[in-house]
Amino acid sequence: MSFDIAFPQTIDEAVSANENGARWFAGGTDLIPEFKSGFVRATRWVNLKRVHELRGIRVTNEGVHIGALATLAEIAENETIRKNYRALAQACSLSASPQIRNVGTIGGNLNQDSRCAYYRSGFPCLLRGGEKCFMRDGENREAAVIGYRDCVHVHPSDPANALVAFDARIVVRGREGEREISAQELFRAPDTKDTRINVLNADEMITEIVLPRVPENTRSAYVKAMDRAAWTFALASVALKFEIQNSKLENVCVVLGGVAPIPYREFRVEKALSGVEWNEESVTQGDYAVLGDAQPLAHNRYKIRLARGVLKRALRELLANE
Amino acid sequence: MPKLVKTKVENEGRVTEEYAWVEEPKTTPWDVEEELRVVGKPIARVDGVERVTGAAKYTTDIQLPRMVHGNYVRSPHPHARIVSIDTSEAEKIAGVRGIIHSKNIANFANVANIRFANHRDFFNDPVRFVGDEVAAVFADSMEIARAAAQKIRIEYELLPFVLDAEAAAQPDAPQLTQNGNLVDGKPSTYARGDVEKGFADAAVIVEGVFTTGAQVHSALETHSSVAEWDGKTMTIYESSQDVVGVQNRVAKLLNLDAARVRVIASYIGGAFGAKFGAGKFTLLGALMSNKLRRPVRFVLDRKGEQIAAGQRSATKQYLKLGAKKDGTLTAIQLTNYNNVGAYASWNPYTEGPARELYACENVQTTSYGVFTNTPPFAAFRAPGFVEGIFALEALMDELAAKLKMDPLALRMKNYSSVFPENGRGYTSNGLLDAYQEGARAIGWEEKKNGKRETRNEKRETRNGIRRGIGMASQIWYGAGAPPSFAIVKISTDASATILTATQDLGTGTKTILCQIAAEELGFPIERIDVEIADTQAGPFAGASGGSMTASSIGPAVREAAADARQQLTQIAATILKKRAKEIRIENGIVKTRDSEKSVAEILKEIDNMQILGHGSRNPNPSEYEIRTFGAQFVEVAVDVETGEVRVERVVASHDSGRILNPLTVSSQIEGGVLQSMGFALMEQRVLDANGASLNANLEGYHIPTIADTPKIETHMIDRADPLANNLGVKGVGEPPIIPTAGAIANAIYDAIGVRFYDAPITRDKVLDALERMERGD
Repeated sequence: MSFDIAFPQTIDEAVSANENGARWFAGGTDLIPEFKSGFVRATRWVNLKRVHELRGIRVTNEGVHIGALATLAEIAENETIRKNYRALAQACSLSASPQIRNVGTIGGNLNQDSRCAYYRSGFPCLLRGGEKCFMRDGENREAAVIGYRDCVHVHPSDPANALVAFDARIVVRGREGEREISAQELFRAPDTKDTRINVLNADEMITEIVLPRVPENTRSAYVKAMDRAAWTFALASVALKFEIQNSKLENVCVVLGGVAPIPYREFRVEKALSGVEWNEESVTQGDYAVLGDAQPLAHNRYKIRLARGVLKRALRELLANE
Repeated sequence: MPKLVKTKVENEGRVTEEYAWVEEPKTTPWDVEEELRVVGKPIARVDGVERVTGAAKYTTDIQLPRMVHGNYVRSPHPHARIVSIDTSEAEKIAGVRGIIHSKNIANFANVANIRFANHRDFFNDPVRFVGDEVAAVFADSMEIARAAAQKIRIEYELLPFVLDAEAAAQPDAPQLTQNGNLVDGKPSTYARGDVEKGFADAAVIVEGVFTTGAQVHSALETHSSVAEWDGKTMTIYESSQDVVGVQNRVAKLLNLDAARVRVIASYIGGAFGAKFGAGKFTLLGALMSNKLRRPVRFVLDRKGEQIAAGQRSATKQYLKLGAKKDGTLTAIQLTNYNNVGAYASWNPYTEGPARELYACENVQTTSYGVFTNTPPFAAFRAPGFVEGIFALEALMDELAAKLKMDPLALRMKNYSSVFPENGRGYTSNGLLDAYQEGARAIGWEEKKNGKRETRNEKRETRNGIRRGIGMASQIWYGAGAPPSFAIVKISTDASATILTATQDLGTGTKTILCQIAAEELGFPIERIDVEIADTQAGPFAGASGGSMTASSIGPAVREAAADARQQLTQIAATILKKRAKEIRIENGIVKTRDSEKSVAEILKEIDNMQILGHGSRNPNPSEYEIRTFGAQFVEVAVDVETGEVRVERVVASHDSGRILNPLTVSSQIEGGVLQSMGFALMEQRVLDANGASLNANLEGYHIPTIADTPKIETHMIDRADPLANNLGVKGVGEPPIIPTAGAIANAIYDAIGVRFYDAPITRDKVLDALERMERGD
C-alpha cells in the first residue's frame, strides 16, 4: 500500500496540505493501527508533529491555552491544570494507557473516531454510510442512554467532558480562516442526514483549547467507571465542577461521559445541587435524578444507576479532599 | 535393560493407556524431610535477563531472507457452502506466490493423509463460523498478501446456523456435521450410587442454573510459524507447547523422516493450552516453503488470534445438590452444555469437580459438548474445571447458608480422603491442610463469622463500599507421565548440559531443570546449561500441558543426572584410587574422607571425553490416584453505587507436592489467579446475532491490567509426594486458575447478599441486581 506523507511546519501549511482526501495525524495512536488494519484508508497523510505553533501549554491572564499537540500526559502533569482544572487533569490521566497518553494529543483525542464495536468491526452501519445502527437492537450494553438520534454510539473522549465542565473554547482553523466554538458545541449526535460525530468540517483542524480563568473557590473532579481498573473506555463518567460560596455549592456543572454521543450536561442535577450545603450529609444523601430523561435500550439501563454512582463518587472524593 | 510397559496417562481429565519404554530407576525419591541444596530454593530464572532485555527471540521475531508471508481469508458468514472461489484478480498482483483453498488443496501431495480433529479439513466447506479459514494467500510481503486477499471473489450459499449450545443440542437444530451437533455423537454420562435416592434422603436441596462466558486465551504472541526448507531439512520455528507434536505432523505431511524436520520453540509468548500440535498455518507454511523453496512466515494477526485460535467454551450448567442436616452431601446432579463452537476433538471436563471433589455416594452427570456456528474450542488452562468449580462452589455456599453452616466447615465435612469414584487412595492429599492454612492466613474465622449477629446479615456499607470474603476449593491432575527422556552431559571443563525436547511455556521449566540437575550432580547451578525446545538437540519429551511438564520431564532429568553422576564418580574413584562409595560430589567438589578436589581438576587429567547420562520418566504407581489440591480465599470490595468489584486480596494455598522453586511457583499462582479473576469479572467474547465477534481485539476484550491486580499471597503446602515420582512433585500450572472465580463470586455474595449465576460478573449485572434488590424483586 503506497501513500504520500507531508510534514508541514506551520498551521497554514498544514491546512493547505489537507487536500484530496488527505488525513492529518499527530500521535497516530488510533489512526496508524487502523490504517494498517485497513479500516482507515488514505493515500495522503499529513504529519502535524513539526507544527510548533500547535505545541505547548501557556498560562495567560485570560486562562490556559492548550496547544492541540499537547499530549494527554503533558496535560495530566501540568501544575496549573492539576491545581485549577483538576477534573481535566484527572480525565487525561484516566484515558487509555501510559504509552498512549505519552503520544496521544488533545487535538486528536477530541477529534477521535467512534469506538462503537459494530462500527469498528466493519459493519455497514450509519457511521460507515450504511442505513442503520446495528448497536441499537444488538449488543448495546455500551450504547448511549440519552441524547442519541439515529446512531447510539457514545463519544469516547474523557477530556471532552471536563472541557465542557470548564466551558472551554475550541479554536479551529480551516481554509476559510479561524473560528471559535464552545467545547459543548464541538460534539453532535449523528443522524441519517449527517453522520459526523463533531461539527468540524473536513478542512478544519483544532489548533488550540482555551480554558477560561476559574475562581479560587472552584472544585472539580473526574470519575470514570470502566470494565476494569484502567485502559478502557468509560461505561459512564462524570466531570463535576462547582464553586463554594458561603459553604454552599454554586455554579455547578455536571457533565456525563459514556452515556450519550456528546458530553452530556445534566442541567437538572446542576440545579438540584446548587445552593446545597457543602457537607457529607447534604451532598451524598440527595437523590439527584441523574438521567431522569434517559431512554435506555435493552442492555444498558444500568448506566442510569452508574451515572448516579459516579456523581456520588465525585462528591465524596471532593469532600474527602477538603 | 529398558522394558516396554503399559501405563495409565492422564491429561486434563482424559485417561489413556499408553506404552512407555522405561529403564530401571537409578534414583530413589528424595525423602520428605530431605535437606536439598538447590531444589526448593528461590533461584531466579536462568533465562530472565534475555527475556527482559529483549534478547530472547520469539517466533514472531524470526526474519529470514526472501521470506514469504501467509495470510488467511476468513468467512464472513456463520454457516455457508462455498459455491465458487475466483482468485484470478488476486493472482495478477505482483508478488503473490500462491493461494490455497478448499478447491485446490488436493493438488498438494500427501494432504489426504492429514486428518484434523473431527474431520476438520484444511479449509472446511461448508464454513462453520464467522472467521473460519477459506483461503490462505502467500506473497512477498504481508501488505501484498492482504491486498490480494481483498481481490479474491468468493460466492457463498448461506445455510441456517445456530449459536446457542442448548439450542444446537435439540434435534431440529441446523446440523454442523454429518454425525450431528454433539462431540462423540452423544453426551458423556457418569453415575455412581442412586441420585434419586440421594435427593430423597436429603434434608436440604439447592439448585442453580449457571452460565459462564467464552474466555479467549489472548496470548500476547499470536499463533505463529516460520518454515524454512533447505532442500533436505524442514526447519520450523513455532510458538508451540509441543515441538515433537509439530515435528511428527510436518514429517507426515511432507513424507519426510522425522529426523528431517526440526522444530524450534525457543521462547513462547503465551500458549495456555491453545498451542498443541501443528497449526493449519504451520502445515500450509511448510507446504509452501517446500514448493517455493523460500522461507514462509505465517503469523496470525490479533483479530485472527482472538476469533479463530481457541477459547474456553461457554457453558450452561444445571446443578443440584442434596445434603443431610449435618451437611453430608447425599446427591450431586449436573447437566451441562459446553459450547465447543465449530470444531473440537473432545468435550471439556466441566463435570470433573462434581464427580471428583467431594465424598458423595450419589452422583450423576450428563455433559453435552455441542457444536455451534461460533468460534472453536481449544484447551484453556484447566479446561472445564474453572467453569465447573464456579458453579459447584457457588452452590456449596448456598447449601451452607441454608444449613446455617460455615461454608468452609461444609467443605471439610465432605472432604474425601480417597478418590470418590473408585475408593482408591491418593499418593498424597493436602486439601485439608490447604483449607486450614488458607483460612488461617486470611483470618477466615474472624472475617467470615465474627462480629455478625446472623450469618445472612448484609455487610455494613461504608462510603458506598461493602466488603466480603469467600473461598473455593480446587482439585486437578498434574501427575505427569512417561514417556519423557533426557540426556545430561558433563564436559571436561566441569560444566553440564541438559538436553531434552521439552519446552518452556514461560513457566520456568529451564530453571527448574537446571536446579534438578545441579542437585543430583552436586554441581553449582551456574555450571548447568539447558538446551530444550529444539527437536534436533534433545530426546523426546511430551507436550507441555495439563500441568505435567515438571512432573514428566523433571524426573527424567534427575535420572539422567544420576546416571552422569555415577559415571563421574567412577572416573573420580579410578583417578583418586578410591572406591566409588567413598566419593561424594558437593558443589562441584569431589570429596573423600581425606581429600577435596574440584570436578574440573579431576577431569583435567583426561582430555577429550564426555560423560553422557541418560534418563527416562518411570511409570506412575498403578494402585494410587494422583491429584493436586488447593483452596483459595478472596476478599472483595463492592461499590454498591457504581457496581465496581475490586478483588483486594487473594490467599492461595495449594498442594502440588514438593516445591522445586518458590519463585516460579508463585509466578504460576499469580498468573492463574489473574486469569481466573478475568474470567470471573471481565473476560468474555461478545458475538452479534449472526455470530460475528464484536471484540476480537485487546481493546474490547478485557484482560486484567496491573491496576486490577489484588494482593496475591502464595501459601504452598510444600510436602513432597514420594509415591508420585522421584522428585515428589505434582503440577502447579493449572491449579491456581481453578478456584479464584468461584471464590470471588462467593465473596461478592458475602458482601452484598446477591448470588450471581452468570460469569463474568460485570458492572451492569451488579447494578441491575442491586436495583432489583432495592425494588424488592
